[in-house]
Amino acid sequence: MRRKKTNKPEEEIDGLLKETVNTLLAGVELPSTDQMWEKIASRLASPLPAKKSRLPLLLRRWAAAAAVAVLVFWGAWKFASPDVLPWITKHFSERAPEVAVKESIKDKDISTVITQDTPEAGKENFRKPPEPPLISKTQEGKEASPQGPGAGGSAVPAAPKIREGKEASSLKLQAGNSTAPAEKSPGPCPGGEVKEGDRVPKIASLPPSPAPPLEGKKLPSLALAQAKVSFSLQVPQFLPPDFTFQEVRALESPEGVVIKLFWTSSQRGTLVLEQQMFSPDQGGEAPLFDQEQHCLTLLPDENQELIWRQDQVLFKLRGKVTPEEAEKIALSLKASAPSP
Amino acid sequence: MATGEPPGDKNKESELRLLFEAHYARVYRTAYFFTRNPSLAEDVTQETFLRAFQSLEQLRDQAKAENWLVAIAANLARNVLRKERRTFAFGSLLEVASSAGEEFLEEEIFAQERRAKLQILIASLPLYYREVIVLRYYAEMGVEEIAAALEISPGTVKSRLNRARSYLARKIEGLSKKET
Repeated sequence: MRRKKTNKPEEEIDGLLKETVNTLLAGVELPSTDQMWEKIASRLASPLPAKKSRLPLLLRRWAAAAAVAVLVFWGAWKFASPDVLPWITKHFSERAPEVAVKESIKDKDISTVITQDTPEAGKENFRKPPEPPLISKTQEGKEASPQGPGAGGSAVPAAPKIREGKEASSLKLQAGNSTAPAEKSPGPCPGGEVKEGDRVPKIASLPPSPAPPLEGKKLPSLALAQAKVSFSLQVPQFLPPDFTFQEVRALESPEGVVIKLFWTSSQRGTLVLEQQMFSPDQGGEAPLFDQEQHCLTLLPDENQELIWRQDQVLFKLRGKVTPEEAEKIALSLKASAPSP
Repeated sequence: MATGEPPGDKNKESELRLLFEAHYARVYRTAYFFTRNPSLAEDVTQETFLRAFQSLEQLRDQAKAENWLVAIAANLARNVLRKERRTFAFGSLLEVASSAGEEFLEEEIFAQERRAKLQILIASLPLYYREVIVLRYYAEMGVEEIAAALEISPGTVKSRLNRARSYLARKIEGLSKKET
């Protein structure tokens, strides 16, 4: 930016400034000359303080920076020195297993870990859709134990049971044993029962049911079977298509005689309806079928067995039927002597 | 005074005494102009002569003794101001400026007022302008001497002088226009 030019000649300004400065400083009151000199003389007489040999400012700053750098370097070296390295190694090696476990849990299915480590693996597997290896692992023991000869349970994949347990909110899963007390879950019907039209799992989508146990004595007729029990045998008036009556058997057990009716279908395999006198030991808390309300709690066990109680008779239906079909079968039961 | 001093120191002290008596006022006023504080100016003056005593052998030309002492005083004053970082002791120097203006005669009232205002302007200049002004117009030092005394380049001395001069010139011109 260009400055404003003045008209005054420089000499005149210089003269004016000189005069002004001199006048200004001439007005400054001087302290006593003698006092001032005495002070100076006294300081001259006293030994002069040793002049500090100070480094130039730039050198001082560089020295400070170098000192800081050295400190930082020393700290870093100390931290990474062999004295400290073992501590670091130990610290991280102690933490390593935790990290490994966490990563393995994160990577794998949680049920895998539970299955291997906890006794409640089976329960956990019911809650979560397991992977094939895990299913086979957890199912092997169960399928082998309760079934008698000819059950063929090991040939049937157990995955459907597990999937059903997840899928059916109102469907009761009776884990392991059909005679065990069944859990009651909240549902549209009192006691966790399923009303007609409610969403229920499609049993038809399940794989073919295992071949029913053929224990017991084959009877030539239903009349003979009726003669073996004190309750009235009931025969369903409804059966899904393609099912044809095959045979009737009577199995004697300490709890009483169990009458088994067998139907077979080319596509769905065998359908079995068991009837026996109800006892808490056999049926547990098998729900009472209310024909008026048309409520039925389906208790598929590991053999896809549907269980319910009607009057004093315990019914178990096993086979590849839908809940609707099962309900229809249950509704159609008539206390009449069958005439196959 | 210490009696056991060597004769060389005695001579130096006498020499310093002569310098003190000859240049004390100018050194003190320079210090005062820098510091604007009487006690600081006193300290600077004492220190100036003590430094001069320590390096008296460096003074070869007695004609330059005043400039030499003023240069020492200027440097010390700057250092003192840096250390002290005193607040602007503006009032005392303004009092000096006002009292100096009262000494002028009545017929020169306009000139008086102008000079008084100029004194105020000079006294209110920043230190880096004030120091070159006082060394140039009061100590009558050359650019090179000022540069050596203040430990700055001659170019910086010139630019500071020019800026201070043009600033004051503009102010003087403004004062003249007001008077007319």
